[in-house]
Amino acid sequence: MTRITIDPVTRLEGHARIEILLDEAGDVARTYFQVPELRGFERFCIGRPVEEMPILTNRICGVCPEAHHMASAKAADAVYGLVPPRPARLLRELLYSAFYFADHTTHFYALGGPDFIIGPEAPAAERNLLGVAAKVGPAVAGNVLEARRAGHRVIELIGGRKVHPVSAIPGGLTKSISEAERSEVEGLGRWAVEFAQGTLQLFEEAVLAEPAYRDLLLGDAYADRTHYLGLVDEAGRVAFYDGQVRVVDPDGRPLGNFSGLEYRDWIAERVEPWTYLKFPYLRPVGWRGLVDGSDSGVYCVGPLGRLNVADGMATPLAQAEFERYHATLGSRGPDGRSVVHNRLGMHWARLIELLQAAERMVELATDPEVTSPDVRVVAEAVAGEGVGIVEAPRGTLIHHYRTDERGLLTNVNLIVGTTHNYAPICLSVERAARSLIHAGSPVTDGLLNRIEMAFRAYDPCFGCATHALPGRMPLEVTVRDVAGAIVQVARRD
Amino acid sequence: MDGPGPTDRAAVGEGPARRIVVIGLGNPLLGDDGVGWRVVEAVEAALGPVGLAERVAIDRLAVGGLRLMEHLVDVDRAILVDARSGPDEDRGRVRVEPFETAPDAAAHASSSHDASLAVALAVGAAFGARLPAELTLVTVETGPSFTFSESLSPAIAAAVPEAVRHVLDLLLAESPTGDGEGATGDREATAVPTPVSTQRA
Repeated sequence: MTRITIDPVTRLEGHARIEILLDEAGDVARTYFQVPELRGFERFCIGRPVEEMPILTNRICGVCPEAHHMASAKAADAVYGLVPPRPARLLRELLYSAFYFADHTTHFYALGGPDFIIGPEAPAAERNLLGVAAKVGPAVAGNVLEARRAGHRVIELIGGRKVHPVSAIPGGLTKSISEAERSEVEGLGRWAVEFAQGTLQLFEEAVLAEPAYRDLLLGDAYADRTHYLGLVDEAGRVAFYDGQVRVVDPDGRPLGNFSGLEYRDWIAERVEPWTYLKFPYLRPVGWRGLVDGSDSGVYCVGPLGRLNVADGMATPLAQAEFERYHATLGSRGPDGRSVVHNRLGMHWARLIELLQAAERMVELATDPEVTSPDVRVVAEAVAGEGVGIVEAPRGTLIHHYRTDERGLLTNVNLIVGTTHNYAPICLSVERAARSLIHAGSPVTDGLLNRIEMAFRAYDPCFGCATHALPGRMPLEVTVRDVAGAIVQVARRD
Repeated sequence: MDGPGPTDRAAVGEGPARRIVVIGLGNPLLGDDGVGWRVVEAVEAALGPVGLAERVAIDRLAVGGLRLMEHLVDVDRAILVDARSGPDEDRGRVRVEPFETAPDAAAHASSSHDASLAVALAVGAAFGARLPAELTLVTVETGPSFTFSESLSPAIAAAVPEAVRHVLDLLLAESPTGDGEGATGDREATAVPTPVSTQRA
């Protein structure tokens, strides 16, 4: 069997890689997407005071510290049986909306940009961030930096630091904001709404209006009919900070909602011998292997999942985009609900969320209670067990803590967005490989990039963000014959 | 095409004074990988006695690539303190070098879309950011560090004072009048300190 290996992320010790195994005829027999896992964090936390967790967990990795900070604070609220005052919940969601705004901006311009703005078949030397900057021009490029800076400024005002925020504690926040700070946040939020609208306009011109991209978005090479999972608010709309988790089947039919400890009734984990990472799946549906369909418990989270489980967006401008998105990419199930299965649709869904995050910044910053000093309730007793669930940009993030009567941790379980998406990422990579690699055809750089696009759509994050230098991320493709000898190597540094 | 966003940008964190930052990089929960944080903590404590507390900003970050680049916008002089993974016999060795000679340095790329710092700096410059004219690395050789711990191993802990001395020497060599290169506060992008054509984006 011929073997093709794609190494998208190489670390000093262990790395994620895609292995594509060809059959005798040269068609794809099987693909494996292997992910490294930095094990032992949960054990490292045992014995610590639960109130340390919001600070500790936001250093797990440098990509989404704000998501861990909030999931952890919510889990710690639950351990102490506390409901933070409304002003604290407003401020937490405001910080979180700013984080979404900054993070989704990075994803589109840094990741989606090279794939969509430059072109999937463009030479590797141009298909990068520098190519994006050249294509969009200095005015847009400058605004991208300003957008990131605006998001980080709001995070700093509420969270105390630009990254690795520190203000969320069990029962609320350590500090409120002043009227001057509120006014600054409102101004940045209004700027953010304009930026998000402009970015959607860019997506319209550079992607939706281009026939080649439209074909990719509407075609089958990137479509997997999985279940979906994500948070919704009390009105069934997309929620990032708080709500109920809703699960829908591949036809969009709701299977149910859950919150808190109920996650264990819905999510089970499958161990496979070829990878360290476990595959979460829907317990009520069951594990049928790495396949899609109504009887497979494989589910997808993240922007695609959120916009499939929700009845709509929580803000008016984003709602109008939501309707256009579903009208363009959605397929109707027997119940008439629209579902988008094409994984590349995630890029569009992410920008609709960018707009909702910006609009929420303005809504929250103009709430009359947002400057109230009433941002904390103090714990009087330890309940002993709690779950915090937020939507990280990459998908549902679950923190589950159990403590003894002193509030010292006895058990910790974290399920992160990329882990939820592990099975669907494997499905998507295999489908893309099968549709693109055929017997006798050369494995070109552009073709490999189109396979990579399948997993990059998920914005996968490999947890252990920080490691000692030197660190590089070469992409290496090795083709081996049946005996394991290298017959072809493609590499880009 | 029309660009997203309005043209009047928010002015945040800009100022006319020469900005000097020392950033400890790494994950403080991953044993020796956190040595950069330990070094800058000691540097911070020593700044007051040598009269530099007002002029130098200290930060501790567990980020790399684009996010690290963003922390260097509108900075004139930056010193990055980080762990460097090398052969066992070099454990504890402290090195000081300009960023140009260590193109793989401070990569910390964590996901499929992040970039090395060298590429991120080039991107920042292309996006119109003003970036440090001087970027120096102070590194401590460690082995690969993939065990969760808040402690440094003895060999690495013993190297912290030497690294701290190097950082303080670099800071004391700064012009006391703060009129060094890049101090004019203009909005022109400065030269990126390393060629990027060989880097993967």
